Amino acid sequence: MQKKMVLLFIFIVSFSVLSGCVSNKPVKVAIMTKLEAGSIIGSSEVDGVRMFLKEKGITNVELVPFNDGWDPTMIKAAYEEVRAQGINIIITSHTSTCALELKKLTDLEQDKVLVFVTGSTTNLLSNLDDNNIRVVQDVASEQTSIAKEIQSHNYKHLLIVRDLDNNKYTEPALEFFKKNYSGKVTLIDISIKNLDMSQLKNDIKDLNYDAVYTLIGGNQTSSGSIAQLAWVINPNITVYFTPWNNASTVLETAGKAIDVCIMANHYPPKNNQPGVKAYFDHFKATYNYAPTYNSLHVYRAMSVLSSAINANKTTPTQIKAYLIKQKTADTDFGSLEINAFGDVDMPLYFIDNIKDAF
Amino acid sequence: MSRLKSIKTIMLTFEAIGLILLIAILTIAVFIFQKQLNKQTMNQLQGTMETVEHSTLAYLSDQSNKFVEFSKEPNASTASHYFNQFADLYFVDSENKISEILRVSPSSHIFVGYGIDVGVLSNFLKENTSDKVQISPILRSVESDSISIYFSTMLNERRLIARIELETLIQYLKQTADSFNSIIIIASENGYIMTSTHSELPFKIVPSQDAIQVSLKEKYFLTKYDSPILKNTIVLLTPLKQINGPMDSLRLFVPILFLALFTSFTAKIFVQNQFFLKPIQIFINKLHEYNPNNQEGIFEAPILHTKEVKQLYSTFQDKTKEIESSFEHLNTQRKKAMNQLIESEKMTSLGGLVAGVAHEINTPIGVCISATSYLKSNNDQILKALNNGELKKSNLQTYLKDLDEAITIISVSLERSSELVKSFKQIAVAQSSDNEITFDFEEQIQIVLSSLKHEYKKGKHQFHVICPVPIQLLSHPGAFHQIFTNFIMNSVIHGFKDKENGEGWITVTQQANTLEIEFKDNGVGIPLDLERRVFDPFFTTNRESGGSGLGLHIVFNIVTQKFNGTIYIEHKEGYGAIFKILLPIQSIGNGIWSVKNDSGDLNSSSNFNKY
Repeated sequence: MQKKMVLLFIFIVSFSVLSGCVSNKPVKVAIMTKLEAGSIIGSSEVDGVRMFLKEKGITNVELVPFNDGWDPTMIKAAYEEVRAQGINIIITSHTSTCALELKKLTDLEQDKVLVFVTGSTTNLLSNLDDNNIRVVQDVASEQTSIAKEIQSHNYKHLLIVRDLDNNKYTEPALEFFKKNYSGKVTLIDISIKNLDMSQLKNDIKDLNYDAVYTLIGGNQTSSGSIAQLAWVINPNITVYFTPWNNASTVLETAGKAIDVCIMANHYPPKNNQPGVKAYFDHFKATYNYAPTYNSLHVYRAMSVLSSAINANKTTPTQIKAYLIKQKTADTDFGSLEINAFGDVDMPLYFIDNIKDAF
Repeated sequence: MSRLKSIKTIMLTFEAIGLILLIAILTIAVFIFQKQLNKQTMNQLQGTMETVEHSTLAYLSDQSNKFVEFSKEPNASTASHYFNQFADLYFVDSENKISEILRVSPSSHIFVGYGIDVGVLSNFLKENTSDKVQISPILRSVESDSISIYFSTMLNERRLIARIELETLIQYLKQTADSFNSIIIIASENGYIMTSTHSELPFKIVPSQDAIQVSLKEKYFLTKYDSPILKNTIVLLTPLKQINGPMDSLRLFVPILFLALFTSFTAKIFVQNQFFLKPIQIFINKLHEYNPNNQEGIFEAPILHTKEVKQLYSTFQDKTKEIESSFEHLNTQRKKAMNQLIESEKMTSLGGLVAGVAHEINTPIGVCISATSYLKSNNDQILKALNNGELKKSNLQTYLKDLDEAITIISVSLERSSELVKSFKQIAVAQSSDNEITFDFEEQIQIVLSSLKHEYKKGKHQFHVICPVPIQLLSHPGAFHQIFTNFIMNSVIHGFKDKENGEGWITVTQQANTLEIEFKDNGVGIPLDLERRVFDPFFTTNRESGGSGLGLHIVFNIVTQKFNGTIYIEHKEGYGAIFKILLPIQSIGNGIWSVKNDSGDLNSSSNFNKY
């Protein structure tokens, strides 16, 4: 009898320890982004999340970065690698084109995977009861805001340079922009990958534009080059960037033209928002470089996700249900209103002093 | 006295200590060797990374030479000859604006008038204004969004800039990596991978730790080197089996060696146990079983593999035989001596009896002689008177009266003598022949008392026999004579020493099948410290007076061996020595009881250790 009691006691203790071990295992979160050498694009996002976890003292989440190159052809391999490691929560910062590629894969595993979308605004992801939670507004809302802003300045001639490499974003973007803009527009479509600056120069040098809208996403450094080219040809212009050119590299490629550039942004300038300023200051102090504004989306997504995990929601279904039920998620950069489809709406800001924005 | 230690424990301890010491020394040696090897390996890897650095520098130096060559005739035409080396070739003015483009790659989004005002390239250009060729660190070119290295030199107030993409460097590094069978990675200080010689890597971001193991399809050892020249981190992934080659061999060898040591230790213990300890233990166990009375033979030990152990056994066997033979001889001698002593004791007892009887007879016979002598004298006087005719009636009457008295005295004395002889005869015959006969128990006690009267009447001692019911026994009266003789003589010699008017009581009762005999006196008694020794052979406190110390021993043996009874000493207030004897008896009919006896030898040596 005594032997049985001892065995029972050992069993109970072992079970408790094992349960403890199992329950204490951190939740793995994948971050799919462009981990290109020397680029601050992907590194900003990864370092941003690392900073979040360290700042908040979070030990129940483990970050695992995956490189998708922001290339739709690399999405499948990256996703398979994520799933092979048993990870079912993903934060992405890639373009809309990549996001739609990923959706094809995640739709096959509906409730088994949850994706936090931070870099894609395509309306093809809007109003869907799917396994996406998007922390940025969709293209309709975004372009409406931009169109209204540009419209408000009554430009005589607006030059739009659109990158068709990211057509899943830029095509609907232009549609929604046009719906809200009534001035004169000249559209030039380019392919960033095959951009011939001299050809572009030829195409635009005789256009008498007083404003340029670089409808380019994906934090392409070429946005700055195009802005500089447009300004060199015609110094008296204003150049608008989409919110997806929010890396400090634009300062390099835009050169002196940065003074005439306005950046649409999801956040107010850092000096106007204590949370954003604190983030930038802390980030630079920690990593010795200025992060992209994209990284704030990822930081915010991690914050939202973390709130669900802290409420003991660890599966994709549980997390999604929790966040939708909560409706409002408080973050360091203000609260997010998440609707029943996991989408958000938020205002857009326009930063004219881009030099001080980073 | 120091505690005895077992040979087994000692041997095991020493062997274990030896083994532990050996293992410890081996471990330390392996540890030191491993440390040395690690140091050597790290130095080697450091050397490898420096080689990579130098190889890169050599490559860049080579490119630099080509750049210098080009700079001698920098135009679009000559630029086309360098399309494999340089992705972009252009001039910038003093304001760092591109003033002329000689060559541009499709990925490079520069144009004439493009200002390099901000950023790493801008800083590089600002810091390096020399006309010597300057090489930038590996960095990400913003205008082409690719990893690049820039070359710059001043030419006639303009700066000539060339950009090479790292793809060409990678090809060069790949050759270096292949020669070392490793993977080379160039990373930023934060671990972001700029380029590598292998498309598949075990991590997306270089781990912050140095000198660790990472896994791809096989295990690699990661080492890092912050190149002050390249201003980047060189990361080397070396296959672990390459590094651990010698250690792997050692690791294989060490367990084998440990196994060999352990096997040797176990074998040693086994052999020691089988050939030494076990035979000794068996020897000890057999010794415990050894019974000298067992004449089946000296035991044979089952394990006699070794000469020495066999010698031990053989020597023991021989010595045992010798000891047994001596023992038997001594035993025989002892038995003989014992028998002689007992016979001597018997003789002494008989002698004492004879002396006593002689002494006793002497008195009545003396009286008879005196009486007859008186009578003769009187007779002579009467005859004389008769012959002289002087005999008177009164004289005759006096003579006849004296004669009557004398006859009475002579008669009593002669009867007394006859009784004495009869008693003596009975005791002597009983002691000498000791046949089993039927006798009255009280009568026999009286005979003994009568034969010893001369011994105890000197001290005016008395002995009383209390036998409420007559007891007829079929047994050996001689044995009982010996018992009571010894009791009475002990009382006289020891109990009543220096005392007169001592008394002794012999009480005999029959309780069912037990004959209870109690002998007690009112003498000095037996001291408590001597009580347990009184039945020992040759124990006496009267050695100076010629006591043999066998009396009570004989009594003990008779009671316990011959009659299968018990004897013990009691103490009661007012009495001295009290001996209690309990004898098992059984009725054989006609009121006769038989005392169970043992036909064994009273003097057997096996009786020595009884009591």
